Amino acid sequence: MSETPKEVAPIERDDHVHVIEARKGFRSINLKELWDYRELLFVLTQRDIKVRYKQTVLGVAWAVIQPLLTMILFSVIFGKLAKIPSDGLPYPIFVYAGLLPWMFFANAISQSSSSLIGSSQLVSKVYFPRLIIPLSSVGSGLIDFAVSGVILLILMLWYGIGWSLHLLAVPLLVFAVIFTALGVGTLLSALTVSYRDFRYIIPFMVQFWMYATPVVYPASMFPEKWQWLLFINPMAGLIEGFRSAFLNQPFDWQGISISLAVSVIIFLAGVMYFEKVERRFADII
Amino acid sequence: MTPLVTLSDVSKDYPRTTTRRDRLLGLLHTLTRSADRHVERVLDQISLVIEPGQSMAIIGENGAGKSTLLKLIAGVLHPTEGQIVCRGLVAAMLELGGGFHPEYSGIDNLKSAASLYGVSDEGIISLLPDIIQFSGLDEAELNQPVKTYSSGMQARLGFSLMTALKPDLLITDEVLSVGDESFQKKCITWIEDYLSSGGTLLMVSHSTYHIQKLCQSAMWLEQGKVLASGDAFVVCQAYHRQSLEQHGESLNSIDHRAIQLDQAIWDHQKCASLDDIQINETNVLRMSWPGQQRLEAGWRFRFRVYGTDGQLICCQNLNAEEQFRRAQDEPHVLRTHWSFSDLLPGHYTLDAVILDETDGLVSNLVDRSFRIPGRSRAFGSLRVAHQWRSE
Repeated sequence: MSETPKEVAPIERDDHVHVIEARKGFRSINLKELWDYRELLFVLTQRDIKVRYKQTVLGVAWAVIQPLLTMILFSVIFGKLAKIPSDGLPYPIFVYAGLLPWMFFANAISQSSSSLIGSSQLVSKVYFPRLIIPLSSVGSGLIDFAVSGVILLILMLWYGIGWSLHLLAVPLLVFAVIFTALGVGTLLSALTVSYRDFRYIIPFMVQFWMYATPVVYPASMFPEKWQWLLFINPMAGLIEGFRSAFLNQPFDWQGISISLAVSVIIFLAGVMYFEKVERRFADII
Repeated sequence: MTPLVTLSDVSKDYPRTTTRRDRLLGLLHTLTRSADRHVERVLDQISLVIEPGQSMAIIGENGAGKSTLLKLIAGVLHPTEGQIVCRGLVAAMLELGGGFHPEYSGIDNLKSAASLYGVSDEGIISLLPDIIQFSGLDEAELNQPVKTYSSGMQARLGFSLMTALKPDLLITDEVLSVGDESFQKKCITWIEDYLSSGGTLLMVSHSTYHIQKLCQSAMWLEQGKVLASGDAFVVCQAYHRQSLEQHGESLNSIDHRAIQLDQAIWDHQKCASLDDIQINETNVLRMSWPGQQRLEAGWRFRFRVYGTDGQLICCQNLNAEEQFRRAQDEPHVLRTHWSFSDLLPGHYTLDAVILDETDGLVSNLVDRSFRIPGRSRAFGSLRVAHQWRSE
């Protein structure tokens, strides 16, 4: 006997008309569509987080171990051996405050750059706004980011650095780092689809970028006159900002502003490029 | 009625990027904003209208552009030229299990796949019992990561999700060929119910049986162009004829193997008509073909009758060699007498083919559905002589 389909609760759906056209050139992001698919963004982010530490023995503990080990390693090499100055702060906490945003940023851009190729099954089989994919891989790093942030707050107590009002600037800086990561991540993810060379370029780029950013050294090592050049690298201003916020140092608003402006530009450029080439992804992935 | 899908002059080019030179040229074209002429046209000026409630098949050889067409309608690909307008919820099964993440459990994959179709978390939770019931997978299996699933299990999960979504337009690409037979039947039954409740279907299949069973109309694509479109049976026959001719040509040049039927007649009526078959009479299928087409030693005729659900009811073979020891140039006539008095009322399909000694298809003679009229209290396909006696 055949099964008669049972009545189920009707699925919410708007009867919107979907027009697929041959279009060329730049176009604006379809924000409404992106909003309609917010559930998917949430689900994919959750999925990325779950999968991230799956089949590892230590599991989420890696979110704690990674930044702490890096901090110890860098403190020995750059703090003890190379004797890099740290603005009068203990080197471990100085470098950790820089590593916190940097590790999020570096992970976010390397994860999202390979995210589209990694989801080729999805991209070539189902329709959805492709921007969701790099967005979700940036988003999935936020948990690690938060865990490292809590560790920093604990380390601050350990090193006797009080929690100050400067911490209020942290949300703004976090947003700015996320934005920069989204911009760079979407740009790299789109480029990697067309040119797989980027898979090999990106690890070098991330390393180089770290040394071009005041992570293991303070911006004050640069002559005052040329510091603005340093801040054209958006991560430079943001990381200095993080240090000032957490370690109760004076803010360099000029540097932060330059970096913020550049990160907005990068974000817009990244997303616009992504949207321009988005419709080609399924052809070549 | 507003059409569900309208394609106007849709063309699709794929970039040719197989060599490094292609990639560099592509980069150059992007940088200089000049048109990339280094492309391959897969679909050429396709126009198509799908009305609600229609069921359409797309047929054609491999590489004809069938899957590309489906992907365009599903929104996965963007057309190079032209416009596509879609209304309502389109669910596309371009590949069963497409969109599943191997590390994720079956349940979690259902949730994320549902969100791909814009179903909210609460929505999917209310649908889950139905999906699970249809899939026939048990609790333990559903909590395993999908990478441990067999392809058949993935197919079950994928199709079950579609059944729960109840899309306005269902797109399937060769998905009925995956999964075991009982599940295939379940899917076909579901599609039939879906169609009778007003659903719309667009499918790619190589199975003439599935197409004629599920689709009213068909479109025949060849090298990105529409060769024919219209009634599913007519288009399928035309397609078969052509592919046989192509097949035959190459065979002819070697050993004159192809057999072309002059006619196939049921009791002096064209086989192509869907006439009711009288069960109490013996039905004669008379097939004839020109004399110059020779039957080789080792070839045989095979006749098969199928039930509504694709179940094979009987398969009869006839050794051609013995039957055709006659003058080579005389036209051949083969007459088979069939008594269908044991078949219960319902729809059936008869196909007749000529096979060579290695079971390779030489010729597709007849592929026809017929109906045994009447009513019956018995279920199944056959009437078996029986008696009831109480003691």
